[in-house]
Parts: sequence; structure tokens; C-alpha cells
Amino acid sequence: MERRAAVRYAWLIRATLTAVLGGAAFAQGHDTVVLVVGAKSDVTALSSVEVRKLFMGLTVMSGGRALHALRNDSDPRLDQIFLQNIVSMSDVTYERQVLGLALRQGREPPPTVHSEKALLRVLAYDPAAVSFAWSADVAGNADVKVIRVLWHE
Amino acid sequence: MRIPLTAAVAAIVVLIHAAALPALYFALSGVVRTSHERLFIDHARTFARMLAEQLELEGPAPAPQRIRDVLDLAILNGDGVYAEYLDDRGSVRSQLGRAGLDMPAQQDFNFNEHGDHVYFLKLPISARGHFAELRVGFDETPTEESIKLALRRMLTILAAYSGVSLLIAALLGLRFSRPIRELQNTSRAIASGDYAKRLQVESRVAELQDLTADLDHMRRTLVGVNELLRSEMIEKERAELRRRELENDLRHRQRLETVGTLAGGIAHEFNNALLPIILFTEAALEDLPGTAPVREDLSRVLGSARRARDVVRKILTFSHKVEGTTLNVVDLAVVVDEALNLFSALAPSSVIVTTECEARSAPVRGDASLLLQMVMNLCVNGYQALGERDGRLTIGLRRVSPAGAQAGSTGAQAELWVRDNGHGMDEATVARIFEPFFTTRGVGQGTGLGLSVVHGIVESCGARIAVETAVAAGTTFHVFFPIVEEAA
Repeated sequence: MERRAAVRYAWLIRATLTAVLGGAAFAQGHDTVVLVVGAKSDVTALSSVEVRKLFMGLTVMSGGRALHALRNDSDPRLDQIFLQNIVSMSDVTYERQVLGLALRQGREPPPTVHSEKALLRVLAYDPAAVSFAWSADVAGNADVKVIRVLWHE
Repeated sequence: MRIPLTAAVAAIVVLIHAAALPALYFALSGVVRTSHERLFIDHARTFARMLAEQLELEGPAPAPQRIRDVLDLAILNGDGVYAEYLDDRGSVRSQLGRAGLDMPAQQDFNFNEHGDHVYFLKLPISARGHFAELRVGFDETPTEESIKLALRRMLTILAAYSGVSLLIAALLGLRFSRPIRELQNTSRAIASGDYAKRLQVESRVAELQDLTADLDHMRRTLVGVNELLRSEMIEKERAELRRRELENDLRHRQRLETVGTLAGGIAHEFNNALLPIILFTEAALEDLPGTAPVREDLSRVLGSARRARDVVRKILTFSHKVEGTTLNVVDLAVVVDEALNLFSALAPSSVIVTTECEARSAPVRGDASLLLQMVMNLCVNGYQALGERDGRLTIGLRRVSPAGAQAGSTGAQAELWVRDNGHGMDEATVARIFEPFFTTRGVGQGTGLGLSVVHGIVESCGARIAVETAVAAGTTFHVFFPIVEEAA
């Protein structure tokens, strides 16, 4: 039953992709995770490699300034997607890698925010901050802008 | 309920393992499972990410054949069983994976989340404005097998550990119980009377060593107390025996004294009556002519009167009322010698008379003639005890040191003994032998005054007399005289 549903979902996804690929983004909601920056930020695009480096605590420059990654821990599922689809490693491995970089190179691990409000506040305040969120949570918010789709259902 | 130490230790180990091993197994299996799953997820996510980035590097809308090659290589080089590239042009899927396999509605975030033994995940691909999606499935079966194998090995190791622990517990139980059994056996031996057995065990356990030392100390103390009590009891028994002997002796002496007083009084009166009879009969015989017919009758009267006087004298001797006796220092050895010569001449050939005189001289206080009479009376008594049969009579004399002297004496003594191997006497007879006129012989065969006279002489000399006899085992009379020291 699950497999048949999966096949049906695959066709639906294909239809959705066809509909949105001509535009700028996938359908908005809790089935899409997007990369966001503050409205005043001059960051317009980041590759998947840059996104990974950023959330590993490595330095990523844009417009002459170093970007700051913010880990969004407001939703457990969001954190699971972050580990699997953004940094592509298990929680323990991610923690070990980040801690290793901090110990070896003195790099600070990306700070974690635990609510959407806090995230929006930091993004509005810091133009170098980069984070991720459900697209539904940031849709229509003038203080942030979406620069990339990281994952969608 | 009695449980041997070995069984108790083994049971404790079994109980501990029964409680701890399942918990340990589940805890360790959790660690094993988590570590395997985390390793698998790390590998799957990293590999999928590398694949997605390689496809991104291919640029926007790569050729389907190129996509298929990349997906095929991904499955060939990794643990992937499913790989699909999806974009607005359609879907490209690797045909090397399992047939009929398709991605579920949602990707997996945990190992074996959907129970299909495949870990599915999907990654968006963005290349210069061209958006696509990569879906990859990794086979979870090898990892599951690895987990099962690790759990089986862990189970085997835990079972082996349990067995070895039980074995060690049993051996330790035996090792600890051995010295305790030794203690038990030794304690039982001591309890059964072997007080000399020492409590000693070979063990390095300090508590056991201390216990052994304490028990042995207690044993030594108890043995000392026991010996003390035993010696006190023996001493008490001896004292009681001595008291009874003294009581018997006292009663005997009192009886003899009473009899002696009575007999002495009667003998004295008889002596007073006999004296004029003898004197006037002798005077009459002197006055009568030699042919007088009454002369024979008077001679018979005189003979009977004289015999009566002898009897009276013996009774007086027994009651210490012999007149004209004085106590001088007499060498008992000389007296014994004289008595021996006299008796040897009188004794029939069927009696062997021997002497065992160890003392060459034994100065004692007494009357020589009475002492001679005493020895002769004892010899005659022994000879009469032999009866008609052959026998042996031994007369002995020796000095006895104070340590070996009879109880009650204070200085050196001379022991005179007369031993016969005759019929001996029973206790009832012994109790009365010194009474006047007591005899075991028939009527007319003795006066029963011989030993009474002996007793009287012994008492008058301040000596003591003892009898050692048993029926059919002969009799020995021991007479103990205080030695008169030369200086005295």
C-alpha cells in the first residue's frame, strides 16, 4: 500500500515540479525547506557546497563579508531535514565534525535558534546571517528573503 | 535450610547474572544497534550528497544517458539499490537496483523506518536555475545482518562469561569452604575429647586466619579450665576418700578403744582375783608333803590359773595396761632378726620363710619384748592363714621417706611388713580382725587375741598398722614406726 502511494506521490511531485520549475521556487508550506537571509542582505545565491560549508562552521564569503550560519531547531522534523538533506550526516557525526573544527581551528559552531521569532529577529538584525526555515513560516515576511530551496516533500 | 557454601556462592552468582546479564545484553545491543545504524546513515547521507553534487556539477539538464551512467555507477560503487533523477523532463532510474522497488511517500530519517529494509532519501539539485531531485535508496539488509551477527557474538561472549563466572564462583566456593571444613572437623575432634588437637588452617583470607586464631585461643583457655576442673575434682575425690578412710579408722579405733577399756577393766579384776588363787595355791603346794593326794589337783588349779593369767595379760596388753613396760629406743632390725630366727625354728618345713630387710637398722621407740611378741604374732597369724598347704611367708623392713610415707606422718618411718600368700580376707573380716576374741578359726583352735595384742603393742609404740588383703590373694600387714633420729 505504501509503495503504491509512493508511486502516486512521485507522479504528483513530478507534476508539481513541472508547475514550479518555470518559476522561482517550489510550492510554499511545511513540505518545503528554504534557505533564508535578512531582507537587507546582499546574498542572492549559495551553492549546496557553500551551504554545507557554512553550516559546518567554515568560512563562506559573500560581498566581502563572512556569512554567519544559524541552525534552526524550532521543529524536530526541520532538524532531521537539516541533518539529512543539508549537511548530510548523522547528528553525532555533525556534532563531532563541528566540535573538531572548533577544537582544531578555533571556529565557532553555528549558533542555534529555537523559535521562528528568534530566527526572524536575528535575520532582520544581521545581514550576514543565513538560516533555513519552513517556507510557510517566512512566506510574505518582508524582513527575510528566500534564496534557495533546500528540500521539498 | 542448610546450603553448602559452594552452592550458596554459585547461587548468588547465578542470581546476579540472571538479573544483570539481560540488562547488560539489552544495553549493549542498544549500543551495537545504534552505532551500526549511525554508521549506515552517515554513509548513506554522505554518499547521496556526493552523488547530488556530482550531478549538480554536470550542469543544468544533463543528458539522460549521462544521468543513467552516474546513477549506475552510484549503485555499483555503493550500497545503493535505488537511484532516480527527477526533473521537468521526466525521470531517469537506474536499472541495476531491485526490480519493482519504488520510493515511498516520505523519505526515511531513521534506520528501517518503514520496514522495507531500504533507506530512502531525496536531495534537491539546483544547477544554474535548473531544478531537479535525486532519490536514492540504500539496502539496510547488510547492516541488519551485521547487527544480528554482532548480537549473536555478544550473546555467545556473555554466555561464555556466565559459564566461566559460574565455574570461578564454584572454585572460589570450594577454596573458601575447605578451610572452614577443616575448622569444622578439628572443632568436632576437640568436642569429642581430643583437646590437644590444634586449630590450624591454611588460608590467606585474613578473616579466616583471625577466626582460627581466636578459636584456638578459646580452645587453649577451655582446655586449661577443663584441666583445672578435672584436677579439682580428682583432689576433691581424694579428699573425700581420705575423709571416709579417716572416719572408718576413727570409728574402728573408738570401737577398739571401747572394747579395750571394757576388756582391760574385766582383765584387771580377773587379774586381782587370779593373783590370790595363784599365790595361795603355790603356798599350799609348798606346805603339802610330796605324797599328798590333793597335790595333783592343786597343780591343775595352779596351771589353769596361770593360763588364765596369760590370757588376762594379753588382754591388758591390747588395752595398753601392761604393767612394767617402758619405751626405749629399740633397733627394729635386731628385733626382726631375732623373731625370724625364732619363727624359722618353729615353722614347719612346708612354709618358706624369707626376708626383705632393706634397712640395716631402724631405731624406734618401744619395748623390745613386746615388739618381738608383735612380730611373732604377725608371723603366727600368717602361718595360720596358710593352713595345711605349702606357702611362703615374707618379713620385710625398710625405711620410708616422708614423701612416700603414709598420710598423717611427718618424719621418716620404718615400715615392717609381714606377707603371706594364704587365703586372704574379705572386707567384713578385715574390719574386725583387731577385736579381742575375734577369730575365723574353729572353737578351741585359737583365742582370737593374737592380732588384738599386735594392735595394742602398735598403739603403745605410737605406730600405725594397715592391712592389705584380698580373698585368695594373700595378706600383708604393714606396721609404720616413727624413726627415732640419732640426734634425739
